[in-house]
Amino acid sequence: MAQLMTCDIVTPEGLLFSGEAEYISAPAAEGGIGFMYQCAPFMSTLKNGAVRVKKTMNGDAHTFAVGGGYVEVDGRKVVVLASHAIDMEKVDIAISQERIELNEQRLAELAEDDSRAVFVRQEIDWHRSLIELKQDENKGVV
Amino acid sequence: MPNLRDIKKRINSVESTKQITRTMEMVATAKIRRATERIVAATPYALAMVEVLEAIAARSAGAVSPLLEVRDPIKRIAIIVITSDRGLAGGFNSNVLRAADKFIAAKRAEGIECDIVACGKKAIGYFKYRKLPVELSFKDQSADPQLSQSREIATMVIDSYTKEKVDQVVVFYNHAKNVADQVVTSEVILPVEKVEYHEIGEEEESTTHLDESAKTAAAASAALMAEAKSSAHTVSSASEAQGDFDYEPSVDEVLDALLPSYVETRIFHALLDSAAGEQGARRKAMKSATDNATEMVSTLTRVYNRARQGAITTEITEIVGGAAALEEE
Repeated sequence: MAQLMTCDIVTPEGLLFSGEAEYISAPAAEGGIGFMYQCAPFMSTLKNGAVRVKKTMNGDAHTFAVGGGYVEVDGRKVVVLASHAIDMEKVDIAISQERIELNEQRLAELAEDDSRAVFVRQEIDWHRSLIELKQDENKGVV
Repeated sequence: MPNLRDIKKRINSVESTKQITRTMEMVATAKIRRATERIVAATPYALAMVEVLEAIAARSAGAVSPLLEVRDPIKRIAIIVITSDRGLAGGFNSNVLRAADKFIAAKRAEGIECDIVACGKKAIGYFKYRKLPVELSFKDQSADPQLSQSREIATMVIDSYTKEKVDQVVVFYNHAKNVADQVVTSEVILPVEKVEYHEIGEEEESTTHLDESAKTAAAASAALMAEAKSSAHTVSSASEAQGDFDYEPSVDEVLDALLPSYVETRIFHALLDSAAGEQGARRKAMKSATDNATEMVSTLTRVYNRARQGAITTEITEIVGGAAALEEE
């Protein structure tokens, strides 16, 4: 059995996940990337996407939707510091859909160059990516 | 002579007020714990973020992020004022508001305009009454700050800053120095001058002057903070191994991407700190209200007893006087 890496997923609100895994993948700035024990030190910003934590290489992955922040690896330890992060099981397409509609309404009310619009657009992007990830998962694309 | 029934009524009313204030005191004490727990939960992220930023900033040759650029002269300032939604917390809100108001007035005198972001109903009400325009406001979240709130504030001020609509961003809030004391704090969060971790909820003074319940709360929060630090240590240990990291896309770009998150974290921490301070201030205010009520009840009871004794004495004198009058006949 391959050696395990420790993995922490941290959000501003608290530690979301902490445990050991054989393989961890993350949505890095220039495309998805996977880590195993003894990989080269690496650091990247995160895009909206899924972090997959596999206890064993062929086992099931525990999936988290993440966005913003960074991922950092030193060969033994993976730290995902995400601005947004949620356990994939807790993602609800209906709720995200609702949020998107709500924010689109808000966006329509704001002027194009309003500073508040930036945040609203980010929220819409985040929920869109959540829906996409959830749909992929439901289809079994993973 | 005061009417016995009136005094009795007063005592009852003070007693029931005391019950309310005592309940509020206990509720606030319980909430301090929850607020502290939230701060503790947020600590690993903040610590790791600061460590990574320090590491990257050291590597980055010439950091060119607009968020680092210090502007001179300053023409417009965005100020974020954090208060609570509810009152009954002593000078908690008025202290922050007074400090912010003074700041605005001073800047006005220099010809600098201020954009206001108001967090908490008390701040909204205050600025509305003063007819000062509020750019962005939040309510109903002061006791339980949401991340989305700090994110919205952060993206807004960052956007204003990069577009040069404002040249500085300052936050005003109550820092919970310990369970009993709050200090009004103002911090410049943009431009980012120095990346540092702001310790919050930390015991800085001896707790000897605190009463029993405050001591328990203080001890609990101190234990939580210690726990947070040890767990935070494990989270951030990856960056300690200063190997040659591969940065993607590049060191500078990573730095640029993380600075907004750092600003967001600062604001989130100010909100959490203020939430903890609010409960602390309320606990203290309600504690002194309860003490006052207790004192008042004992004074009133004394007056009541004296009046009753007086009435009895008068009655006895009357009876004795009446009996003597009968004997004489």
